[in-house]
Amino acid sequence: MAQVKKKSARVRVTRLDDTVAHQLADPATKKRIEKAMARWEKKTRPLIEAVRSSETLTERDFAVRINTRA
Amino acid sequence: MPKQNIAFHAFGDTALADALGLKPPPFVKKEEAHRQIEYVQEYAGELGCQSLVIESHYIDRDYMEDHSVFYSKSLYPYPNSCQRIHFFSVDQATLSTELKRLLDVLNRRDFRKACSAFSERYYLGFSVIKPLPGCPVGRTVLRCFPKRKDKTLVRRFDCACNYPAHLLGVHLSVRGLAFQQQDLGVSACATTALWSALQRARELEGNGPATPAQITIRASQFALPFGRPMPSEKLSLDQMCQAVQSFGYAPNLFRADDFDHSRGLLYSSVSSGLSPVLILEAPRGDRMHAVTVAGMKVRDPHVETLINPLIDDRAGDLVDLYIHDDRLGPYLRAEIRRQRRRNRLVIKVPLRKGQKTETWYLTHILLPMHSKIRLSLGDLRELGITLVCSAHAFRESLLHVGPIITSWSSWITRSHSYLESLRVTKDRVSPRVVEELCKSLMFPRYVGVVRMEAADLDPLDLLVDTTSTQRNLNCLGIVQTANTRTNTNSLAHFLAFHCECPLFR
Repeated sequence: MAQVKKKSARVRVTRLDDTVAHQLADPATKKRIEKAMARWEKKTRPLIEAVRSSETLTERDFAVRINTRA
Repeated sequence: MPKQNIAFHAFGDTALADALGLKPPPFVKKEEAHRQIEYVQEYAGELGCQSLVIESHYIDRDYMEDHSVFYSKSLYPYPNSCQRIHFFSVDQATLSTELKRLLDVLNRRDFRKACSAFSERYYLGFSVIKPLPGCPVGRTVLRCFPKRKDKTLVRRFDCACNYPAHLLGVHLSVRGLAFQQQDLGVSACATTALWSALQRARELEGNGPATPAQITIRASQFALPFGRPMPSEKLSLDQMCQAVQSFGYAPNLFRADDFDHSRGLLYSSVSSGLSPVLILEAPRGDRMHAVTVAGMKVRDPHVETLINPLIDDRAGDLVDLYIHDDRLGPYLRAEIRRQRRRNRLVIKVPLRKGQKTETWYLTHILLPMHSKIRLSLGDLRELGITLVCSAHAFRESLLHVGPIITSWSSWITRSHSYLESLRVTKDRVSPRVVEELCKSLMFPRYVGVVRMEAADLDPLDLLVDTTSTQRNLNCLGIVQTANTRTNTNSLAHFLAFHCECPLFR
């Protein structure tokens, strides 16, 4: 008799089963997702630009003198 | 040989400055010289202090080094030792009895256990008093405010460290972040702020201590744009970065132009247990100041803060910061506001004793980090926004469901702390998931975490290798904490595919 394992006792480390992988790798699906992604990227561009600009430092930033006395 | 004298006092009978016999130097007003020590006394009072113990002779490493490089070369013979005050939340008589009772414990393990229980119950921290009449407050570690503020707010002091202290043969410990006031000889605000921030970095990495004297010397080693290093003629940001680098940490510097992003960086850094140094500008633009963040006050439960019509930033829960300001005192509550005109982050510090509120504009955030952490908190934030975009795109194009507000937060943590959090927090996963994560992944010392959640999505964590770079990102895995909401499964699968990493659930 085949041994039945309890479902909850197993951990599933999913490396994407073939069906899901196949579905996501389908060119038409891929294209649809890419199109939606591009739309979302456009919407969030100001947020990303704010992140990048905060790390684009110039000499002026480093020359700031901290000069408050107690 | 100087004689040690340990005296017990009731708290609050007299001003601390008087109990210690402190007198301001000529031409300095008492309220200026003793502002910090008065604040320390008020803070200890708020923590419920009832008694204090003063050690008359204490050798403090930080002051010893300041003395060695600066004060020992003065004509006036400054002593090389300090006084130390210990604060307790129990009355004098009980304190004395309890300390004696501890020394009666004969077994070493029981003794340590009893000391730890005693510290937890009664010990509020200590303050080193330097023999410098114009700036007496040296290394001061006081217990942080209690966690729960009220039903909707909690205080988080993730940047706090453990400090041991020994008194009358008893091993005491306190959790907080060290504070001291600037002396304008060896250190000004920039040095002192860095000194506090490096305390936490040192606890995480076990590097050598960074004393104020060492920080000033290293900061001025290669450049002196503003004159002599001692007496301190103030530091530039460049010099502060040099000092951080010389201690073996990477100085992560951000310009704070945008309110949402600056708030996000502050939230992420405190959540990561990294203490940031804030560079502040006075409203008139004539003064710059540096303070250290010790903790934050956040909304709990979470309240939505939309930075885009469908993106909820968890950093929006940040209400106040707790800062160490060397001009005023430790754990000052600083309110966070948005400057409408320029969208900058404004910090308002309500001063005590009826003085008006101080306002500062945040210009930069300096974060000393482990040098192997290549992904900055900014990179992680960008990754978080991109991940939320992917989830929206997937819902829209494949699941054909309407837009759902999705929240995210990001932080960096030690890998073992992350694994521990998977078991001990409310979103706990099965022990087998943790086991599988440990068996199948190679974890870096620090892991970057981006957590995403929505009405249709249980919390999902994307784990990234912080030793990789944004251009060559190494995603380690996706951890699915539960499967109770409609789209959790499909989104988890999609994100694992999108990030090219395994899914753990």
